[in-house]
Amino acid sequence: MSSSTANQSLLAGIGGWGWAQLLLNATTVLAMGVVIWASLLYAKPATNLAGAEQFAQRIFYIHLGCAFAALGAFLMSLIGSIAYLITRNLDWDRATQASVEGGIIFGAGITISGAIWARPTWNTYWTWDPRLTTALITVLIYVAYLLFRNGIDNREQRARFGSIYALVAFLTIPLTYESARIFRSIHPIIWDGSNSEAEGGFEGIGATMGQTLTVALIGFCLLFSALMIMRWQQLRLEDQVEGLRERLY
Amino acid sequence: MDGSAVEVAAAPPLIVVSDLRKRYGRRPILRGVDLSIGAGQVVALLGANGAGKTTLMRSIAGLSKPDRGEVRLGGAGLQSAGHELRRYVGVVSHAPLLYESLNGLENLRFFAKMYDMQGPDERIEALLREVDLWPRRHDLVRTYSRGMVQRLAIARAILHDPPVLLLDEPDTGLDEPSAQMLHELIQHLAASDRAILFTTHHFGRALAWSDEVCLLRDGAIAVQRSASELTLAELRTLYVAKEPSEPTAAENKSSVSAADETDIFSPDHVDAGTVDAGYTDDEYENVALAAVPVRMATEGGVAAFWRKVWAVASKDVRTELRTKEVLGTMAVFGVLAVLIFGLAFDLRVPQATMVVPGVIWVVLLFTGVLGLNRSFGSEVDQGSMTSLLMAPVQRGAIFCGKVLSGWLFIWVTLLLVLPVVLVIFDTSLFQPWVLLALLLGSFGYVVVGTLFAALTANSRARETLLPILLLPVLVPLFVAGLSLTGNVLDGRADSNLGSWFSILAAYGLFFGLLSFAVFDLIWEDS
Repeated sequence: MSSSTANQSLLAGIGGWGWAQLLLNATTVLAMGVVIWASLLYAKPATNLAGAEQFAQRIFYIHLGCAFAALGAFLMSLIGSIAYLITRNLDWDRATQASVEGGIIFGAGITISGAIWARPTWNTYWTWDPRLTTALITVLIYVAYLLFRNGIDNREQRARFGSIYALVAFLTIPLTYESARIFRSIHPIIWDGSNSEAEGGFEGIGATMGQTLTVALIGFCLLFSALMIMRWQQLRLEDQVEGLRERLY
Repeated sequence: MDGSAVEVAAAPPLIVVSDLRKRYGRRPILRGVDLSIGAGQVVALLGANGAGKTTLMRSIAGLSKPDRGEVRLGGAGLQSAGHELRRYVGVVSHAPLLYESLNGLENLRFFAKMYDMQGPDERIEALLREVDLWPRRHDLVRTYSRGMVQRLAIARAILHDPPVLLLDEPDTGLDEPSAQMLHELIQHLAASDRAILFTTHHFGRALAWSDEVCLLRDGAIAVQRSASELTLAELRTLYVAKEPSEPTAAENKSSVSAADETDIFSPDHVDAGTVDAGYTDDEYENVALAAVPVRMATEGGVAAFWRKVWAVASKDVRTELRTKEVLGTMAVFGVLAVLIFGLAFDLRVPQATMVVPGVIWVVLLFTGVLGLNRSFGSEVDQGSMTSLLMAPVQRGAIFCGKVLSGWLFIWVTLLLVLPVVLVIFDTSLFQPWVLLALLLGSFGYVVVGTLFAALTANSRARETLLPILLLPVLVPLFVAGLSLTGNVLDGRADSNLGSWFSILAAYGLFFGLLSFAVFDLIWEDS
């Protein structure tokens, strides 16, 4: 095949939704570049902090971006699981799995970025603070979802059981979150309320901080969407390959 | 279909299967099966391993949901009629589908309750005598020989006198006298207007026992002939023939285009429509009712539901009293865990009692997992879950029964473990608020645990999967229970006491309702 024919068939394959996806991926890469630049250089430092603590505060944009994307991912898994149980369309099950995998990545992002921030601020990478514990348990709940799926051979049964578990798992999270909030926490609350016992928080969000935060939230949501769609397509292909293999043997 | 088609049965068909299709994954198992069996008709279903015989049987029994097509029993659609239609079907499988740790009499009494039979003892005695098991009625099923188990399975299948009988290799493991007894039983049942479909690998029995022989090949009926028109040699020839001389109607239907096959899972492709065999609903009803002379309980609704809940729970307790598999393990593990905690902490310091709430709740969680793992695991392993699912019992009643027995096992364990905690840690545990916290907490735990035990029962490595799934989801319950118990034992008048109780109660209530609602989904295609 000549290179021009190959390029033409590649472009034909990209057509329709392919172009939209290409645009989404390109926008995501650009947005994440802007997020990194704004977080490290553009946003003004927190004035009530100094030294390593002041520099570590900049991870807050990544940390909150991950949290926002993880929330979106787990919400999407809830929607996917309910939609699958109603429609029995495996595409919804693939969407649930792709969302959960994305959620776990961003959940791990929350934990790791939090630990990096905590070292100069709390003088430890990890403490059994209710907020930290809640986040870790949420990630573990969804890791269990993936392990569970792995233990079921029948494709339809895997989708059905996985959806039931994802449904129960998501509904546990508000209760876990609420029960942990009754405990006293040293985790700063920047968004929607305050915590007088917080250690390492910063006072108010200035203009550049607010702009950076907005860009970070948008960027991470785009990143989740791009990853989820690609993973969803990959899972679809995996099922198709499995189907072909079953027909052959 | 083979050239000589069989005449349509005179009686209205009790079993009508039309264009039944089923896939496992993308592998087609049934490719458009059409079958009609009238009252008093015996049909033998033959086919090589993997031809789809068992899947067809399971679909007719309502245990497997078809991807396409329909099964009608006595004129009613299996999917639309709900669990009550299961009352009209009796199934014998190659697995016995019995409780090994109950005796023959207890097995039949339990299933009589599941089928709402009133005063079943007389019929049970008659059946046990019929299958020659009356002298062994008090012996546990696990002590029976293979043939005896199969005979008891046959008695269980016809206990509620169903008009439709599905016998999947009923002659497996039977010696010649037992096989003869089965033949006589089939003849007797056919004479009283039952529709009987049985599978076998024994050509001679297929011809001798049936009116009609169907040969299932690659998921479709390739041959359907009157048994009296066939010789053993002809049947063998048809069985081994790869392709019949002409394509049959069934095969024409089965040879769907690639596009059709791809579409099977699309939402537009679910229902093949209804079957009109030319009979009125009244005719169907008359046939069905005439075939069920056993007395059924007249009260339905809530009373029948709770009666079945109680039957499931008491069966679990009875089984446990026999086997001592669950309670013994839970209690010994619980006591050992408390002893290890006692060794791990220095009990001489005054702060030692601070660990007591943690000890109690950790022991509760871990011993509970041991019990919950057996809740559905043993039922699935011995096949009794299938017979339970085939009974006209709401899945919710099975769930509630399992929750009830699971909760009881946890409390028996706690009542054995708590005195050990009291002695070792020297703390006054038996306080009303502590017991209330344990009562609410253990309920929420058993509710979610029972749901997850059902989910994992059919999965690989369920023993390891259950705690992995369950423990993270139990965190809110654990946190609330731990805090509540700690505050009460410390004698602190904590303002959050109400909040913790609310979380415990909300957890149990919310997840109880949710689990009850989704439990049906777990077993819809088991």
